[in-house]
Amino acid sequence: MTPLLMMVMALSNALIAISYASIPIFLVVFIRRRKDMPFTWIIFLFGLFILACGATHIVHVVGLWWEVNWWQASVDTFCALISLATAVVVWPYLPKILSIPSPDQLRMVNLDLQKEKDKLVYTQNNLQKAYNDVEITVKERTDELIVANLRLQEEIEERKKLEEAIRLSEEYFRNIFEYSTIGVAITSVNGNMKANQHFREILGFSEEELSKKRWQEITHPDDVQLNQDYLNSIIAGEKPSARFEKRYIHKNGSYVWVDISTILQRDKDGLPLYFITSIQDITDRKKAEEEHIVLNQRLQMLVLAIQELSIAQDISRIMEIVRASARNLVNASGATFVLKDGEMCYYADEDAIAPLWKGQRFPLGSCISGWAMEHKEAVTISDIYADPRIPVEAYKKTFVKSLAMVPIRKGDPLGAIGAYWEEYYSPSPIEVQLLQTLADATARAVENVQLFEGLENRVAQRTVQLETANKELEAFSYSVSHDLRAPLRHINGFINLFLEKRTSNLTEEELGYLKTVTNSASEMGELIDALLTFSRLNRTELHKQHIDTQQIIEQGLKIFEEEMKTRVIELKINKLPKSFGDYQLIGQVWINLLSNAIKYTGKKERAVIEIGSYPDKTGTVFYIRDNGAGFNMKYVEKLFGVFQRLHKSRDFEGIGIGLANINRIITRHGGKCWAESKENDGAVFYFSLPDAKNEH
Amino acid sequence: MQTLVKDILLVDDSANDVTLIKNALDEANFGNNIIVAEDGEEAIDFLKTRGKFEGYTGGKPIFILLDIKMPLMDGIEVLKVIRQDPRYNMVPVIMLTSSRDTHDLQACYENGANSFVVKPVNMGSFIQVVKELGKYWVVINELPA
Repeated sequence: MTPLLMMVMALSNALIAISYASIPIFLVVFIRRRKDMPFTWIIFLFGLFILACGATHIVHVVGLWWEVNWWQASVDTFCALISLATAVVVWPYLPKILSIPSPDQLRMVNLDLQKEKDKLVYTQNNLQKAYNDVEITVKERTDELIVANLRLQEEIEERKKLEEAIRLSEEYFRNIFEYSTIGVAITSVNGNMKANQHFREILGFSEEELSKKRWQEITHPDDVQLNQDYLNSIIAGEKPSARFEKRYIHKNGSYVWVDISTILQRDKDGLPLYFITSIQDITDRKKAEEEHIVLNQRLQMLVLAIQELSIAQDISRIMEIVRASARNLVNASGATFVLKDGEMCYYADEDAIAPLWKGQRFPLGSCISGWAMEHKEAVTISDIYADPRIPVEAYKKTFVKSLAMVPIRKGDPLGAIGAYWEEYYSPSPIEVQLLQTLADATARAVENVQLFEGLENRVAQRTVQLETANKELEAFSYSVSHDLRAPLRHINGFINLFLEKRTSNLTEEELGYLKTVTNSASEMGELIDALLTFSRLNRTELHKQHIDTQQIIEQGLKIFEEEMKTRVIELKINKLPKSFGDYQLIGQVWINLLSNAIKYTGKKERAVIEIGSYPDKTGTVFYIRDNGAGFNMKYVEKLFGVFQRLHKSRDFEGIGIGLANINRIITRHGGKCWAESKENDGAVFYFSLPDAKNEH
Repeated sequence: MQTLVKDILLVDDSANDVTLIKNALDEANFGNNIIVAEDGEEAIDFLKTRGKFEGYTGGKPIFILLDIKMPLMDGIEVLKVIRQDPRYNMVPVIMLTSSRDTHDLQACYENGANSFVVKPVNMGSFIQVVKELGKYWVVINELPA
């Protein structure tokens, strides 16, 4: 090759290389200026491709002087690869590149844009106007807001004041609630409660403890229903509030009596919200009331015991009454009835939860009942193991811890009543007084029994004596009836024998004497018979029955039939009521009376006898009237006496036993006899007989 | 040898009464022999044919007059023994008494006495009573034997 040629070649390739180098620079400047250009990386690739082509041209220039080597080849290769990559990459982008609008299109677009812009300007003007309006409104509103803010500020101030007032009021009421001297609680309808300090103090619970309780849990089981009933009636609207007394259960388990007042708070719709309850502790008052009731019951018991004691008829009954009432009277665990037995205390009876000393005897000086008797005063011991008077040994086996002992009959003790407690207990003065009263009544009762027993013994003794006397009398009259009559019989009998067997004639006078002897003997026999009959009247038993008076009189009259035939006797028997008595004896009464009437009218030419009756308070009075001899009323007292006669035997026969018998019979029937008369002008004999219903 | 006419047994402790009764029976024309027992004990001896009556062969009496009031063993007791003895329980017994004591009367009949006679003070009436009674019992007992 020629140098010229070489020179042209070198120069043209150098110019190409320089050109190639300037184009990427152009591209870089363009891209940097037109950042909106799409596909910059493709442009960048073109740049690199052009730069690589330029590099080959430089290598070609070099290759003019130096042989082709690997360095030249690698530049070409690099250029080839870039070219190839560019060619390959570009094709797929052809559609995209084609879609890039042309300047005409852009011009059209620009026109459209211009229109749009005009619209926009118009709109913008409108907006500006609107904005201006808004500005005005905002200004106005702002002003309003400022005013409102101010007002709000004022309201907030007021609110704060109000809240303060409410707070104060709440505190005020809370303080009233919490520190009231009345227990107050607010209880929900389902039972949960909130209580104030005093309420909690009454029940012994803390606020927290109480908040977990329902009222039912701290109410005495017996009072829950009552309480619930009150609440129900309030809820039902039957009453606005309720006041009653109930028992709460204190935390320590004891019962607290309260006077409770409760009222229901309702919401605006009238639905129950909660109860407001106030309570006052009335345990002391209740205790006093209970004590009063207990005392009353005890007094009643005492009265009963005294009543029973007053009619007790033996010592065992007294002990029975005392042991039971002594124990109940002072609510003791046991009671004893101690009798003084010489120098010993005899524990005669007891009523206790466990045996004490029944049946045992202790010397007066070594037991507390003896002490009470010797000192004639009541004694109470609240701790028997701390009292020197107590014989500890005797008590060790018993339940007794405390006791009270009162003497029976303070003046001259005859025993003592003891009451014993199984727990340590101090008997109150009232209890001692109750026991002492019981003991006093017991003393009276014992004295009465002793008196009664004395009387009983005397009655028994007298009865035995009377029975003996009666038997003796019986034997006596039996003996009289047999032995007194025998000699009389013999007198009569042997005089008769003598008269039969006499061998010589007796003078009239001698015969008269013998006749007098036999007559006297006969008379004495009659007297003995009469006396026996009379004495027997008192002893024979009465067999009472209803008697047809009319019939019994007719029966009696038969005896006098003969005599009446020989005389003029006008007998008038009025209508007579039935009577009640012993048929035999009443019959005898009538016979005696008829006999008397007939006998004592014997000297009248015309005898008039009238029998009649009239009622009296308890029965009937019968009478028999005659027009006979009568008697002197001066001696009326003697009329009904035994063997008393108001007439001479010469005038009227008789031994004077008839009216005595009548008197005795009628008296035994519970009736009475009496008589009225005028001498020589008749007599009336009366007797009364009680009706059956007035019999005892 | 048994006599044809039966004896009458009289039990009475009073000798006077025995005399009067015997006399009364004579008056009433009783031909019977009268055996006297002076008290209850002797009456029992008679029943058993012992003591005073040992060897007695009179047999059963026609009737027995028995006084109630006697010392030691009284008439009621004797009556009981008589009524319990099969040999004599059919013999009529007439009780004699001084009084009309109803207790005695009741006791007599309860123990099987056939009759009851109150010894009157007047002996004449007693004779009459015994006569009547005697006749009655004699007639009864004299039926064909």
